[in-house]
Amino acid sequence: MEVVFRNVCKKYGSVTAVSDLNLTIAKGSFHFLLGPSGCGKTTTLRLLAGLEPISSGQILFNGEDVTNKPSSERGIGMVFQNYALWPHMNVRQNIEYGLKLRKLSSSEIKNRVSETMEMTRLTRYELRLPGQLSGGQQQRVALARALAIRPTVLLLDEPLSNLDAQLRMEMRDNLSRIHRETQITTFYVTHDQKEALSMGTTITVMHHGVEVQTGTPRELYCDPGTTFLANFIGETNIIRGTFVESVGNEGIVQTEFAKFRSSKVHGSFKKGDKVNLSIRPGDFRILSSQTSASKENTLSLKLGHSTYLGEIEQLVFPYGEDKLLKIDLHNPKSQLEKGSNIPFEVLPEDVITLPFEQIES
Amino acid sequence: MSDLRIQSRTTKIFSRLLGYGTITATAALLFFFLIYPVGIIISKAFLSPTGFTLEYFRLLFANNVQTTGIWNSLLIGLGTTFFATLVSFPLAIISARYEFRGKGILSALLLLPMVMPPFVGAIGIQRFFARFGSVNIFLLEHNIISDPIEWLSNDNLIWAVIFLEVLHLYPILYLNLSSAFANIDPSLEEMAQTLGASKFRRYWNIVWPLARPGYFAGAIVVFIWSLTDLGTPLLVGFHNAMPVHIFNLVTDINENPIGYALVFFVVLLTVSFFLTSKLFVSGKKYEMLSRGHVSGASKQASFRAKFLIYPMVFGTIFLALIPHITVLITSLGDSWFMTALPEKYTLKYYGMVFEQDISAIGLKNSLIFASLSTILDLILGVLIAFVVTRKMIPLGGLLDAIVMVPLALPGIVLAFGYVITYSDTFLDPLHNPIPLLVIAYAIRRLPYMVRSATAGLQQVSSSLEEASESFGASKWHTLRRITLPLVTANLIAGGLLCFSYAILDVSDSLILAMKDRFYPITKAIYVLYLEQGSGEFVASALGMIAMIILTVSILGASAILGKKMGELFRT
Repeated sequence: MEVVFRNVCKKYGSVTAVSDLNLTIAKGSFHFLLGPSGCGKTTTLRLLAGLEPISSGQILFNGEDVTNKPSSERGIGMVFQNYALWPHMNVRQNIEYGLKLRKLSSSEIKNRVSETMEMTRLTRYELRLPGQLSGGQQQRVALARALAIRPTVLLLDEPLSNLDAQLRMEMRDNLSRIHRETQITTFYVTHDQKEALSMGTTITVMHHGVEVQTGTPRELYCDPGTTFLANFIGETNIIRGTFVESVGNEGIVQTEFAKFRSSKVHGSFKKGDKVNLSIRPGDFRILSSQTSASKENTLSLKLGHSTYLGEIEQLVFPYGEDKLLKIDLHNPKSQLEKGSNIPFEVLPEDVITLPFEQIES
Repeated sequence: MSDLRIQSRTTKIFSRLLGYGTITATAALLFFFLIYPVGIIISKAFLSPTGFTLEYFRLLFANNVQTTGIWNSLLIGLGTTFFATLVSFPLAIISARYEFRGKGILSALLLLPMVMPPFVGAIGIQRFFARFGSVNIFLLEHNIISDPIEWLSNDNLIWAVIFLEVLHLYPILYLNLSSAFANIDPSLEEMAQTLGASKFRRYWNIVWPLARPGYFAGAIVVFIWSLTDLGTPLLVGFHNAMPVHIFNLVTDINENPIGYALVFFVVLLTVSFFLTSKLFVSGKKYEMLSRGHVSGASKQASFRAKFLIYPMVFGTIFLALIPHITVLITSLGDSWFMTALPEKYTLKYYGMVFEQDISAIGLKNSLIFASLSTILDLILGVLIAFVVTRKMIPLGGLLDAIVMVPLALPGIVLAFGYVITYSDTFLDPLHNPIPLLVIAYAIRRLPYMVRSATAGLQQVSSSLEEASESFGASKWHTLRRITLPLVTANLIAGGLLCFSYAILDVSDSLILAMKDRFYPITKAIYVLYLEQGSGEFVASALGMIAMIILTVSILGASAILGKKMGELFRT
C-alpha cells in the first residue's frame, strides 16, 4: 500500500504541529519518521492513523483519499509507545479482538491468532494477562495484535523506547525479520537514529513540524542538506566559514584555521556569504609531516586532550573562542603529546558546505 | 560499629513499639466501640431470658408494618443507587474526557451536595411542595392548575426521600467513576478504535470493564448509606422506613425486643451486600501498565458538545441545590404565609439561632464534638497509616482492612448498639453522651482519615526519611520535619472531611443525645422543626449556618485533593 501525504497541516489552536507535509511512503517500504521530541512526528502518525483530524491537506492510500475516513475504516495496525494492551484481556483475547470485530469465521480467527503468535513467539503466553508479562513480551503482544488483522499499513510509535538496551537490539532484529516476512508497508516513528539507520529503507527527518529531508539512511548520513540534519544524525563538526569562490561544482571556504575545498555544496553562495561546514570526526587523516597553512584541506592544531577507547582515539582541539574540533583516529598506535601541533588533511568529498544556521544546543 | 548496632536496635524497638501500640489502641477502640456493641445486638437478638430463640425474628417478620418498612428501605436503597448512577455516569465521562471553560469550579460545585445535609433539604422541600406550598400556590395563581397537586401524598413520600438521597449521594459515584475513567489510558480506547470498534463497543469492551471496580466500590456506599439513612425519611415524614423504626424502637427496647432482631437484620443486609460487592471487585483491579503520553485523555469540548455539557452540569448542580435553595428562602422569609415566595425578607431567624438555647447550644456542641472527633481521627489515622505504609508490623494490611469496616456499618446500628451496651454504665448516654458521641463520630469517619493519610504517605518514599536519618536526624525529628510537612495537604483534607461528616451526623446525634444541653446541631434542627411557630424558620436558619460551614470545608478539601478525593469514598 502506498501512502501519500499531500500538503498536510495540523494546528492545535494557534500552535502548528505539522506544517505543509508532503511525503510518499512506497509500497512495502520500512519508512522512518525521525526527529527530536516535540518535532511533530507522533502527531503525523496519529494523523495517518485517523486518530486526529487534519487541519488541511489530504492523505491518500493507494491514490484513494482517506482524509475523512474514520480510523476504524482505514485498516491500519497500530503499536502504541506504551503498547496500550487491554489489562483485563489475556494475550489471546487481545490479539483476536480486531479479528472478532471483522466477523471472521472462528476457524479463520484461530488460524490467524496462532499464526501471529508463532511469528511473534508468543504461543507459550497465550493465556497470560498483560500484567504478567515482561516488557519485551508486552511489546510483542502489541505487535501481534496489530499484525493479526493483516493491516494495510503498520504504524509503530516509538515501539522500543520502553525497553532496555539489550532487548531493544533483539526487537530490532525481530521487527526487521517480520517486515521481511510480511512485506507490510511500515511507518515507524522514533527519536533514535540508530533504529532508523539500521532498519529503515527510507527515513524522513522532521524538525519543528517541518520535513527536513527524506532519503535512504546512507544519503542522510553522508550528504545531509542542512546543518540541523548534519548535527542530528551522527556526530559532526560544524565549522563556521566564509564562502570564497566556486570552482566547477566545488566550493572554497575560508575558516578561522584553514581553507577548505568542498565537493558537496548545498545551496548557491557568492563570495563573502557566511556558511557552515560539516566534517565528521572520522574523516580526518593524520599527516606525517607539518603542512603550510595556505594549503587547502590541511590544518594543524594544538591538541587539547584525548580519550583513548581502544579502536578509536578521540582527539579534541580547541580553536577560536571556546570552540572545539573533534577528530577520531582509528587504530591509534603511538600516544600523541598534549599541546603539540598535529597536522591533518581531509578529502573535499568529506567536506559539506551548508547554508549558515545557528546550532541549537 | 557497636553504636550503630545499638542505634539500629533502638530504632527497631521504637518502630515496633509504635506499631504494636497503634494496633493495640486501634484494636481496643474498635473492640469496645464497634465489635462489642454489635456482638451485644446479635446476642440479644437470639437470646431470650430462657435461652436461644428465634421468636424475635418471627415477631419481626409477622409484623406487617416492619416488613413494609424493610421493603420500603430496600426500594430507597436500590432506587437511589439506580438514579445516582444515571446522574453520575454522564457527568463522570464529561469530567474525564472534556475540557471546557469553568470546569474546575463546576466540578467543585458538583461535589457540594455531598456535604449538604439532605434532611435539612427535606424542610425546604416540605415548604415548597406541600398542598399549599410555594409550587402549588404559584401554579394556582397563574391558573395552570385549578386544584392543588398532592406532590407529597403518602404514595409520593418515598420518591421524595429517593430524590433527596440521589441529590445528596450522586457525588460519591461521580467521584469514583471519574477517577476510574481518568485512570484509563486513552490509548487503550484508541487502539480499539484503530481496529474498527464503534464508540459503543469501545465503552462496553474496554472502558466499562476497567471502570467497573471503581463503580461498585462507590455504588455499595451509596446503597448502604441511603438504605440506612435516618434523617431524610424522618424529616420528609416518611415514617414507614427501616431506620425510622429502629429509631422508634430504641426508646422502648426493654418492652419490645424485636428491635434487636431488626437491627441484626440490618447488619446482615449491609454485611452481605458489602461482601457481594467486594466479590465483584476483588482481583479485578487491573494494574494499568505504563502510561504513554496522555494527549487526548481529555480534549477541548467542541461547540456541539458544549450544548450537551453545560445544560447537563448546570442542570445537575441546580437540581441538587433546589432543596438547599428552598431552605435558604425559608430561612429568610418574614411572616411567610400562603404566597409563592415570601413578600418580605428578614435576617431575624439567624439572630434567633444565637438567642435560643437549643440552637445556640447545638451549634456550639457540634463544633466542639466534631473538633474533638477530628483530632482523635487525625491522631489515630496518621498512626495507622504510618504503621501500614512503613510496614512496621506484619499483617498491616489486615489493620487497614479492619479500619475500613465502619464505612459499611450504618450509624444507626452503632448508635443502637451503644445505647443497649452502655446504658447504666459510666458511659450512659442519658447521663452524659459526649464521650460516646465523640467516639461514634470518630470511628465512623476514621476510614477517610486513614485513606487520605495513607495516600499521602505512599507518595513520600521512605528513602526521603532515610536521607534525613543519614544526616543524623532522629526518627522523631525526621517525622516532624520531613514526613509530616509533605503529607500536610492530605491530612488537612482528610480532617476537613471528618469534621464535615461529624457535623452532618444524624443517627448517632438523634439517638445518643437525649438531653437538651447535649444536643448537637442536627438534633437541634430536628427538635426545632417539630416546634410550632417560628421553629421551622429557625431550624432552616440553623441548617443554613451548618451548610455554610460545610461548604467552606468541602471546597477546601476538594481544592487540596482534586481528583484523588474519589478514593476516600471507596470501601
